[in-house]
Amino acid sequence: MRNPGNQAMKHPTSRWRDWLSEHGPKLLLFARQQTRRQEDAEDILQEALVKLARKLEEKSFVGGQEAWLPFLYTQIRREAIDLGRRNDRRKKREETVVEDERCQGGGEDAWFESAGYDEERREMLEGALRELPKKFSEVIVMKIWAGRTFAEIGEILGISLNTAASRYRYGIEALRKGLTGARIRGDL
Amino acid sequence: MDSELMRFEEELERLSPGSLPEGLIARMEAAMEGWEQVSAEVSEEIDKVVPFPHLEDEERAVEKRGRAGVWAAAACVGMLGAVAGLLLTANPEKNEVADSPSRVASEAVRKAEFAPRTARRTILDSSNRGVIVANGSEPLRVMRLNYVDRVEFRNAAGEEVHLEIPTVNYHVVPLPTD
Repeated sequence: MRNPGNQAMKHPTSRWRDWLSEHGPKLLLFARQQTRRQEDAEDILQEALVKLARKLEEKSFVGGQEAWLPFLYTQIRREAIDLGRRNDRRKKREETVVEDERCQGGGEDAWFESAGYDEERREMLEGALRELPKKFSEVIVMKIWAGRTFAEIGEILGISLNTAASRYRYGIEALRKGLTGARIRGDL
Repeated sequence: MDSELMRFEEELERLSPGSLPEGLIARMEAAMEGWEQVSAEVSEEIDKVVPFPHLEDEERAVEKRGRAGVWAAAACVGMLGAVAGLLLTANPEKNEVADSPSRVASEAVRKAEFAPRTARRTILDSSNRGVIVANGSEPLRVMRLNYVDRVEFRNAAGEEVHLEIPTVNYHVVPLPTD
């Protein structure tokens, strides 16, 4: 069976571009959810994509094109964990920088498009999602915006299908609760 | 999932992830095309990284510094003792030059010189700082010891000087693995 990646590598520019335009946004969103900064998200996405390209070129990738996304989500998560470990030594300094950026109103790149959505509501939802514990938000991001099944999410995260489903439900409830709180406080 | 949660879920689905800017797509595309070059660059970058000393090296260094402090203190005390001993071992009664002009000065010096009388170490507290694995094989427990060395000096006039040297030291204790 011919590996679709090999075909892609023959005409890399057009093939990758179309594919990246279609799937890049959700991959970047996941990378963004896994990291603290936009730059880190872009870097780990690039690392994951390079690993995919390499595996395809070396013909060591198992599966067809439908397996690219699960591979990339897994890879992005691994890269994010590695990055987090590397950054632990600089944690205090980075936190200071992040605090500075927040104080200056910078460093908060939007995760979602504003088009067709109430800007204020988008900001609130996005803020609530950012504040959600990572183990819940990563499942929500993969389920809603990446369209992954609970079985796939479980495989990517190394958890059972039931755990993935539970985290999703609890996460959604927590997110809604957070927004209800915001509404009561008059933020919405 | 109740209907309210489902409505909320639908609302979330209406949000679209931000699209990739043209520059970012081009960057990703270039990286994927030139994966061999990117991998080589990453390897070069890794080669340039100066590794931090391992935890056990740091602990060893801390311990070494701690030991150096103790040795310095011990040497200091020893030297004081030796000097004082030299001055105090002379028996005034057997001193054949008792009437020499330096006698008065010697007496004064003797009164001023202090000799160590007691030395003791008191452990103030100890704490377990976790387990490290040295050289990837042997588990070691790191213990932090906070202690103070107290040395008491006294001179011929009965005056006392108390010297206190507080020290923090780290010790590693091999752990049984069987």
